[in-house]
Amino acid sequence: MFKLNLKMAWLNVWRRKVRSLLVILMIGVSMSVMLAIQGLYDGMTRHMIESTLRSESGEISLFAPSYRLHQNLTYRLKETHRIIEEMKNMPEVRSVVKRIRVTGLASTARKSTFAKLVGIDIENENLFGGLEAFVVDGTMSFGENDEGAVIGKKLAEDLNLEVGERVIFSAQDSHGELSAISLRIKGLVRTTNMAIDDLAIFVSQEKSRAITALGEDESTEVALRLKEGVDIDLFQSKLEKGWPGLEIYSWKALYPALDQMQVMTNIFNGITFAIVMTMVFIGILGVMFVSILERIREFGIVLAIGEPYRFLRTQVIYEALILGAGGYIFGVVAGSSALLYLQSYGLDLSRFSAGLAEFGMASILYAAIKFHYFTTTFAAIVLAALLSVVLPLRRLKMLNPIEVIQGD
Amino acid sequence: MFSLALKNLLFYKGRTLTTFLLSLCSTVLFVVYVAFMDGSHESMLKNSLSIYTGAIQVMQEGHHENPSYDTLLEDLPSVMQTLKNIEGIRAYTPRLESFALLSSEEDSVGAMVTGIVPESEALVSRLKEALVKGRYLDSEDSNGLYMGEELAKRLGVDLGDEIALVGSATDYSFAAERFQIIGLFRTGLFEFDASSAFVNKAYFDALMLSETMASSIVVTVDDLEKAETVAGEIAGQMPSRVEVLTWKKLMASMVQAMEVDSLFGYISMGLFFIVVFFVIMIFGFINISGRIRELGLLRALGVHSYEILKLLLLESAILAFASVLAGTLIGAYLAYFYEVNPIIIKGMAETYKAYGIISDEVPTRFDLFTIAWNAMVVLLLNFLAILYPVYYIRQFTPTEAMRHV
Repeated sequence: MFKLNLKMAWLNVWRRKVRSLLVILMIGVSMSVMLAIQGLYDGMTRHMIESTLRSESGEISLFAPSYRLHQNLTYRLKETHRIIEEMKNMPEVRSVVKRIRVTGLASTARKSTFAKLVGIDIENENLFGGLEAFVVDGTMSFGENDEGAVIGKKLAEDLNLEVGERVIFSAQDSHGELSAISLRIKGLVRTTNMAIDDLAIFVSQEKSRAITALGEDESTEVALRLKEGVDIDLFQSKLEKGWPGLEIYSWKALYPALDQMQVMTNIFNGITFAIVMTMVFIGILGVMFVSILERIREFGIVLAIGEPYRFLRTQVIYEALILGAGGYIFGVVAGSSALLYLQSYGLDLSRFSAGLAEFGMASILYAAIKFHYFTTTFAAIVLAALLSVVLPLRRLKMLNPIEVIQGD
Repeated sequence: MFSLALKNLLFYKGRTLTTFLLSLCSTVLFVVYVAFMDGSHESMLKNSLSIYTGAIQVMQEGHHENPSYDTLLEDLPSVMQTLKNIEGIRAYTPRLESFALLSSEEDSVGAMVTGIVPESEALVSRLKEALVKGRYLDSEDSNGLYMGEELAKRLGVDLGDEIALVGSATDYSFAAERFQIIGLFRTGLFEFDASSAFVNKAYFDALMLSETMASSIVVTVDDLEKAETVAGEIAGQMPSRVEVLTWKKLMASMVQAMEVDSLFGYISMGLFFIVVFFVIMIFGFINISGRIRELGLLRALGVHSYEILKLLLLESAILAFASVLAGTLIGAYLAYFYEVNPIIIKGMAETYKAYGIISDEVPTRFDLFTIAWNAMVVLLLNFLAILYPVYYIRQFTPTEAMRHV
């Protein structure tokens, strides 16, 4: 019976080829465009978050109490070594870095601007977030005598600086005294994290200690990268209980706009998905309704010769599912091709690079591909197909075979 | 012909209603979506322009790309004199911008310290209105500093406290002075409030050796739409090495950011239109293919195929015009309503302060030209969607059509 039903449904679908192909085309084209847009938006948000996590905050950052409020060296972390060792031993933690950060004035012979000096350990930063991969000019090194610095690309542009030139950084140390250092630019980084690209001057930990007068065991922040699958909120609560003397922030608290952007992207994708699926439902509904109405006498005859209603019901459901499945297969092929292309080559928006930089975005946007795109779309298309036959079937159920056969 | 088309539409109520609603909803959605997109962009732009940037800036050639003491306007009095006689200018003021290190007892911060003429500055920017504590600058002030509230927080200082400024004068000699905070301001532009301080230019000029110099002259105009024209007129009367830039160039990255945002918006709307296009086409196709016998009969009775085409297009046109008109009226009303009563999303300015959002309000922009082209797009979509069904029906001869099952 199953085979017969399926065969009849298949033949009925292709009885009106153009109409069926239009529905399949509608589902396929809209699904593939929808997948490409979802992937692009998800990829864009993920890239922004990922570059911020890699270049700065990690999933979790630890500060001394009041540091976030005042951003002043008075509120520095002490016993940094102990904190780092204990963090490293936690099973959830993948990588740990400590940094010394101080705000001040970056100057060349002709220009000055606001900047942030960040004392780092290059090897640890590379393990933490692959900082070296963000270098766009020069190298990620501080030179043999630690006299060098790697600075944000935008900051370099603002100061008209190139690799090999010198910059003077002045700031107040932890004792309130003004101090300044001269640094030779070794490299430029572009992370798309505006806090780094616009303001950061990376120097060695030793150099940053020299200008801030902080001790060997002191720093302004410790950042953690967590292992895949670790629940950030749960881990944060665990740290807060274990380290009541520290201020502990997840990246979502440090960058609420990025978190909001992720939420907005999900909402936007959800709305787009709902609209497209509603249209798919309306499209299949229209075709199924007409398909049943024009075969009403045929159905009457089938019922009159003793076939049960459920036979017709199954056949109609199969017809709707065949249309949905056809569209889905088309959509999967076209959608995954588009996603794979956008994942590999990206969407080049270099023409708008300055505008994209305003949002902290790269000028080439790469798509993300998530398995759930295909599973949820499949479930929604099946649902739309099933719902689309409810009304036509109700009409069929109320059918009086004799009247239908006798009618014109 | 018209009444026949109307009767046909009313006869196939279900299909007519579905197509009508689809087209109506698409029009409303498109008009309102674009109104919100344009409204939020316009609001961001106007806020930024009125807070500090101004509609036009006059500066030495190369200063915009490479702002430094080497590219200062040097003959300020004569440039200012020229501006006096140009029509369309509402107000103008010179500024001398300098990056310096500001130090309090607690901390030091690099900041933009700008010498301004307090009276004329109040006419071109919102600095005076942004006062939250103390007082605004006046022309008699000497070492008084008017500072961003966030910058004061960074330095841990308040009204009346002293600040040391260390920087370089326009001849690159060392410049240092002690200033007293006389007022704090909050414009809402977070980065601006966290990195800006202002001094009476007359006093600042003595410190910076910049008496007849300025980084730029900021000009506001009577009508922002005419900024390009006014800029052209100013440029025509300026010495050759002086350039005149409008907000489009001054805020190029923001303008581009908005273009990107619009691009994403149109891509999303594009997806919606693809789906709507297909659905309207499917319903049009169902409608026409269900009437093949009827249309074949009309042909057999002597109705010319051209007239049948006209009938089908007329049906489609009635439906499209009615739905787009209704959708445009609803959409235009919503665009107007939310322009007057903007939606307020509490906390939005705080969350997105790093991106230059300074208000919780999300207004729309009611613009008849924009609404008209939005409506035209949906109308065009309706006509494109009916082309294939019409082409399909024309393939049948009258005999084939009458025998069609």
